[in-house]
Amino acid sequence: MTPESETAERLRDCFGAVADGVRPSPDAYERALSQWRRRERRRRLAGVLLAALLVAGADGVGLWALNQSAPSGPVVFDGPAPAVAP
Amino acid sequence: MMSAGREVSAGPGGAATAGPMKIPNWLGLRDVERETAVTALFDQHYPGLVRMAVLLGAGVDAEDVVAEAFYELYRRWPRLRDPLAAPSYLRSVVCNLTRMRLRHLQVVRRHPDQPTVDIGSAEQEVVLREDQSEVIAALQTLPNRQRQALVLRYWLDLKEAEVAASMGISCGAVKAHTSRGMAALTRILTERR
Repeated sequence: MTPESETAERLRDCFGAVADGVRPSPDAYERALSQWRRRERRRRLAGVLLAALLVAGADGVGLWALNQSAPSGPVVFDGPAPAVAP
Repeated sequence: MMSAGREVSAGPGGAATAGPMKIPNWLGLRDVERETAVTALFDQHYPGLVRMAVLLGAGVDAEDVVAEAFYELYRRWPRLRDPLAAPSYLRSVVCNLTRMRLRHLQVVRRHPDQPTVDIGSAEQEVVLREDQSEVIAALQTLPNRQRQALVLRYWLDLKEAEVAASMGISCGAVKAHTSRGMAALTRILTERR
């Protein structure tokens, strides 16, 4: 047996012994599930808040732009209205 | 949306998911399907991944690392191309998170003014024979990448390509890490005799 293959054997034996001694906690699933749901809810809430902020911002910019135009002037287009055929 | 207070039997069984669980109102049908799929994977792979995280050096944080990996899978489930790739993805996330944890601990150790956290290794809690303890001590002296390559190769018996996918490196790099790790380990163990 070469030194490297002996080391490999010892390594496997040692990994097996350590792994056999590890016992995951029995409530791991409940904790993980509640964490998934809590973080997912928070993520969705953050998304909704961001969308609401963007819409409110766009509304604000639009209202500000409308408020800047002269009361008698055209609101959207500057040029004269195109002639419409009867 | 589904009705309030729904109850389903979770997953394919196993102690971890025993008993019905309530599904909150805000979860849609797709979310329930995703939860069921991830729950099945949790039942199947959680214990093995915790053991892998311990062997990689995650210590007492092993369960947190694996739980975080499952959350990453849960979050990215709709973007997963093939559900069969999920175990490989989980292994890869556990490897990365463990490496980040070890790197963080190295940084903390470099700043002795900061209060050190008790990072008792789960390996220390397991009763090992003297020769096994020697191997563990030698393993802890190896760089993270070499240790990861050895764990994935010799404990999980993964092929080089699978190790490479889990570690996010090339097959050549896996070969180099494995052979260097084995050489260093052999040298240390021979010197200690």
